[in-house]
Amino acid sequence: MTETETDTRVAAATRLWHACLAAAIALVAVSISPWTLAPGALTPTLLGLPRALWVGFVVAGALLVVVVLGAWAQARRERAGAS
Amino acid sequence: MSTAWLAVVGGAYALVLVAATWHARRTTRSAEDYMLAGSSLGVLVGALTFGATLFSTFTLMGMPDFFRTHGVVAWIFLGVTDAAIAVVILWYAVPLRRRAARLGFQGLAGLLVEAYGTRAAGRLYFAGIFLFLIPYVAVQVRGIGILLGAAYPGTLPDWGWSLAIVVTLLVYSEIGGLKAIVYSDALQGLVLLFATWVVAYGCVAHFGGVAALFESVARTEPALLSAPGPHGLFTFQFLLASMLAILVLPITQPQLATRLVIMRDARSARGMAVTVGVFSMLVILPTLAIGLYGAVEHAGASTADFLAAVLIAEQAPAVAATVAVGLVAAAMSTADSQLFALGGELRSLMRGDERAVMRRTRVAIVLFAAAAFAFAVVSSDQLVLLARVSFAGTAILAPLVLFAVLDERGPPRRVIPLTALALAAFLATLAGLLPEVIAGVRADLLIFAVLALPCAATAMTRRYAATPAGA
Repeated sequence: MTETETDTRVAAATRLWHACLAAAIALVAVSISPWTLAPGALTPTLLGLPRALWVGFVVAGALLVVVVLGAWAQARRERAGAS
Repeated sequence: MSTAWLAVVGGAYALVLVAATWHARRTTRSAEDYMLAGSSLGVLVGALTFGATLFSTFTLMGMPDFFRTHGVVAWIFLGVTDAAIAVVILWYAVPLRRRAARLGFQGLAGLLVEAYGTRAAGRLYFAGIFLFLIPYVAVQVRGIGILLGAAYPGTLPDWGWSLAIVVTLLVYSEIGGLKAIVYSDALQGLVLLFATWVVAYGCVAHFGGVAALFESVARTEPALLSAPGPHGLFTFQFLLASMLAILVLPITQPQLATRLVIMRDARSARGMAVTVGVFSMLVILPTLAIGLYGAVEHAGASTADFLAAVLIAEQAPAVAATVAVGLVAAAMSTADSQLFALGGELRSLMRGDERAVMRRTRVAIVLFAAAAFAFAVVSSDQLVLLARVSFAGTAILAPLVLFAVLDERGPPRRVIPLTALALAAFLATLAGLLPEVIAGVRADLLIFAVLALPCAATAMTRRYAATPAGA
């Protein structure tokens, strides 16, 4: 692998890692947003679950996906030799 | 309640614990092995010990009662936050491990001394974790004591159960060191997972399914299904302050940070982050079902009565015994790690002959355990809220630790007095000397902000100053 290819791979993995961090912050923000925490709001429901709960489930699930992607990005950076 | 099953399940659990301790002792060859478990944890054992340390009686007893009392938004309070903790682990493990490799690692306090170049940093950190970890250990030990005392009357008094737990964890910790704790944590994590799912399955089956459970809750107390909950607890400020406090646990609490350092390699640490995220969901999800069941069937009961009923009395004897052992396991897996971590932190501040240091460390762990037991006799039963105070207290140490780990050119020493002031302000709030809400903002949130702003400004200034001109 040439030095340029290595740099490109490191840059791509770094961008993905930063995107994962940004996504995690955005997801947490959604979970405590005024829409999620609207007093007394039960609808829209999803599979019979009230709004705050299903939003919480979706956010938690999405955070787990972010962790998997982030771990993959970190591994790529490491393999490509980034410090 | 039959004590025969308790003897059978408890005996089997004790046998495995003895075997793990014996194996740990046999394979421990040095002080480093004893204090840092050989620094070679694989993904599964690493994730189980991290998870078991993170989840305590706070989870198995506190969370069901929290869902029962305050409703489903408790999922955001803990479920979302713990999924986000996995991201924090992923982000933080690499720089922490790099810094630990460069400066040497016996504990965070020692690392702070090396990074800041003054013992004041390590001493302040140790004082902070001592103040907020001992009460946390105490409330867990007390909670289990009360529950087992109620569930198995005539066996031991409440304090007797508490004392038995403290003595047991001290014995295997002192004999086998961190390796014994890690092995027992892994076992305890599995027991905890099994116990919560068995109880939760029974709770959902009682209503005939998840949809029927939620319909029953809506009929009983609809306020449980939305923010801010029946008692108005889940406001934006409460959730934000709680998230900040909980998210920095792997950074500030020594028993968790140490587990990131002693993973075998970076790959294992990444695998651990993913597995901890999944483990967290698997542990917290069933407590939601148990709590909502309690909201319908035990709406007016006290916390102790609800927990004794749903976790012990309403279960088949074998399940009840497994849950009781799971509760003891949950309490021990967190308490042992915290007490041992306090010993490790103290050791990292000590200098001199290694054997004398280790002797003093082992005596200190016993003294920390005695302090926790004494506090347990007088502490409150509000597990989740007391745990949250502990989290918030240690969270104040986050800038102090983060600067030491991330700023490799040498962190600014002004962070030390700033942290000391913030800790003093937080303690003043707890003592009632400062109001809990200042100008409409929660005091803990305000203290985080007042501490974080100058620290962030310092970090940005130093980063800017370090950037080459024209870059």
